[in-house]
Amino acid sequence: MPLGADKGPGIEDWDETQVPMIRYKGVFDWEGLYRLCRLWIEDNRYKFQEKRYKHKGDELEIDLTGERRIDEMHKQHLYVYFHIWHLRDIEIAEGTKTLKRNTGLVHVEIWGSIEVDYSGRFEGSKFKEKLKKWWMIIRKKEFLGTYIEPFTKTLFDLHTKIKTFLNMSTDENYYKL
Amino acid sequence: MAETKTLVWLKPLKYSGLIDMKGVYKTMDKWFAENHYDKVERRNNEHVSEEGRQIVLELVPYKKITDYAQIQIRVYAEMLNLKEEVVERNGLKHKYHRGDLFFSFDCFLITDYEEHWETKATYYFIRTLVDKFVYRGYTKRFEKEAVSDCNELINEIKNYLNMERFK
Repeated sequence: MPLGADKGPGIEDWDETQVPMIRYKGVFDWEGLYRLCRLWIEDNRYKFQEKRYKHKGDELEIDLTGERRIDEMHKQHLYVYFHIWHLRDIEIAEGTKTLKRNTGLVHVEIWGSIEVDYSGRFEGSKFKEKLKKWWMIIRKKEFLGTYIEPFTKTLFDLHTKIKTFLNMSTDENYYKL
Repeated sequence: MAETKTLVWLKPLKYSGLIDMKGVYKTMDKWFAENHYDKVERRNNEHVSEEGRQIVLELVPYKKITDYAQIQIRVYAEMLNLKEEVVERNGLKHKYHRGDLFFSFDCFLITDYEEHWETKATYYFIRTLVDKFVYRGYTKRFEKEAVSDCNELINEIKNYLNMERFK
């Protein structure tokens, strides 16, 4: 589970058991994979941050986060968690070229959440807090359709791109925006 | 916790031969999208070695029928000893995999998934009474829809794999 991923209101029905998880064991380009995630986060107008970088021997744990304000009341939070075991550098021959690659077991988790009222407009009094609670109940369906569904599809886009980069066989995605 | 009723349990599907992996996954993905299921990919493990590819895939998409009931289908797939094979067809080369495919399908009907009727004992009691005597017809209809969806998905995958067999 990525660091800080369970803070604030989460995406409806996205809990620990439903975070898309990718595990791949084989030859891959770690630098390229990291660059892909970083560029994807920045190209989709998220504020990129590397929350954690833990490298111990041949084990690597990285937390990447992205944050984007959609409007005055909603903010998207994106988390990408990498955990690599037995990371080793190798060289492979492709035609006449020698390429630097890596081997290991890659575990990727992608998680998202939408923060409602990030500027604290509904804070300050008990009345405002109750008003916010009722407001969320009344607009639940609109919230799902307008904010959660497009965000879910966005996350699946990154998910598919990672699978395509790792040359996995299940890299199709019918859930496009 | 929401109440889960198991309607289909570990229904198997086996296949051996030439497989277009991307095609199989795309077929499932497309079926879920067209039948208004929300995509949930719980597990996608791929192990590439000299002996071949081993893939373990677990999809748990769900569809909210009402604000009280939702259908969940669990697809567990194991693809073993997949070896790449290039097949020439109509002058064009296509990449396939040859190996063994094993699917397992489960289908569940989840009621009160938002857990509104579990906060107090009285609510729980009322919910049980309503489910048993008032809402029975609706529940039976949802169960039929869930089983029908699951069987339709299995047939869709079977048809796709059978088409591959004759190509």
